[in-house]
Amino acid sequence: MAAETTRSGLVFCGGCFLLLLVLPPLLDLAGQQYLLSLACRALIYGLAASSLNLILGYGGMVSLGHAAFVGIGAYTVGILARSGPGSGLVAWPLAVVLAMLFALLTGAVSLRTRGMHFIMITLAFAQMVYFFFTSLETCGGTDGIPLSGRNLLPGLDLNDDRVFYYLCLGLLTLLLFLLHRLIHARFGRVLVGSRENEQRLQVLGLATFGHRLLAYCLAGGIAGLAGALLANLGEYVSPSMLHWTRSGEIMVMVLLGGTGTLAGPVLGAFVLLFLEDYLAMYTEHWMAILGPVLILVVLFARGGLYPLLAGHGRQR
Amino acid sequence: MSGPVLQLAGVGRSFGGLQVCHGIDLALEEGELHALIGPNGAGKTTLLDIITGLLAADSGRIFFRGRDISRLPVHRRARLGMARSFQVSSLLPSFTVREHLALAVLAGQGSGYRFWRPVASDPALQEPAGELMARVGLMERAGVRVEALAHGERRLLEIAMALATGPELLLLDEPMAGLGPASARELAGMIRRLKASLTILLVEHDMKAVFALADRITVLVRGEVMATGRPEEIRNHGKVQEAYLGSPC
Repeated sequence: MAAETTRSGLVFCGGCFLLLLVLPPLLDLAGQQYLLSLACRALIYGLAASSLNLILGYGGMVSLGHAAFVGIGAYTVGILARSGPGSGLVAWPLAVVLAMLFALLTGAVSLRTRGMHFIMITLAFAQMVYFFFTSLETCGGTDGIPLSGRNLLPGLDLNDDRVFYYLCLGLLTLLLFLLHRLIHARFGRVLVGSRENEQRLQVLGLATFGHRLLAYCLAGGIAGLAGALLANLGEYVSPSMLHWTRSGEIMVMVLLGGTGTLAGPVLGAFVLLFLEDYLAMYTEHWMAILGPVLILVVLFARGGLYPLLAGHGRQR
Repeated sequence: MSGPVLQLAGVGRSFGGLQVCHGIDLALEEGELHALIGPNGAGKTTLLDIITGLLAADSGRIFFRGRDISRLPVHRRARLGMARSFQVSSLLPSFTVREHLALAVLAGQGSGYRFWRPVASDPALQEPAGELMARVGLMERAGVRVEALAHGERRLLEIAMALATGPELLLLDEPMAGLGPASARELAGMIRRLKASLTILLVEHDMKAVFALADRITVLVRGEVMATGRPEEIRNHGKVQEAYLGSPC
């Protein structure tokens, strides 16, 4: 039943994981070190897309405001770093908590709506955050905040790109594993059930609102962590992380890779970012090529790329 | 315990200018099977929606074991011990039979705030789910998604789900609708056995089944209670015959 438990799915995910594990030395051999930062970016966006997938794919909540959580995480790191690089053990948990808090407050309101209204209200909240940060001089306004270095972690030198890459890979793997447990545990069943027929679950006696709100907060927290990592990766906090087009990009990653599959959103992040990078080498109008590709995927690979590549139907 | 399990006092509801239920009084005694009959559009399903909380009543009050539940949300009412099956099967398209019942058992046990142990390998959920499947005869269909189930099998799953939460009051909305004669007989037998341990409110069009099963019958016509009484009283009730039953059955 579960995609990840089928043999072809396991083989595919295991293969991808091994490839990611040996990627840094491979890139060294090929003399393409610059791609490591792109791969790292894809890992972090994979984290953000996976968190959106929790609410969009499993919970049926189509949110167009995910950039807000990413941005809150990034700005938390940025604002704390103005007095010099601080400990990641302080900044990152704080980024997660603040993003979760924002999710709790906005979720308590927006989860009372459905469908198009939910899309619009999440977008509106995210835009409020965007204008809040870009109009504050202390947050660098529209210039953003440059960092003087990455956060400090005991025993790890994050300024080494390889160390940072493996940290991102480790965090992504850990969170995917936790999400996998979550989805198949009681909480996940109630979440997926309320996507399918919320009223029926209420008649059974389940308080679906609380479950959906908690999922929304968890997704916000993970996206906040992705934001903190993103700020560290580029050593720069940009207002563009908060822009609504970023929310759209994260959603495209989920749809491209496969909604409601564990590995799909990560795959989507890699495909989108690498395709973008590759096409941009040939033409600045790469959007004109990427657009039709996305349409083709949506039309012909309904469940996304992951089910297509791993050779089975979408996990539901 | 004394006093009715469920009591409705002057319950009414209208949609725009259309009064669907009006001043309905109803009391279900402990352990009785109370049938609710009436022509199409009499407001039977609306009344069940009001009792379960899917619709709010415009007027009147609802008591469950003496407690006023008129303003409780749907899931809180269910947690008090109320379960319902739907007239049009209301299921989860991508869930298998087993997954439905595990979810329903989970609902009966309280909340879903557990994040680690897989439902599929949790005996506290799977064993009761297995018993329920055996009870309604869906064991061989355990791994089948409801999309692929036959109509009658969906009806049985509806009832198994309603039973999974261990309710004290069971609201059945036309459980026999669309069943073949053999399945309907089987289901009638099951409902009869349930009577021993549950209070049941049965909405049903199959008059033979209603008169065979019910302890008391309430006739609803155009949103109002026309008569309440034992089956033989209803059968011989002049106005009911005229309005609804047509010929004596």
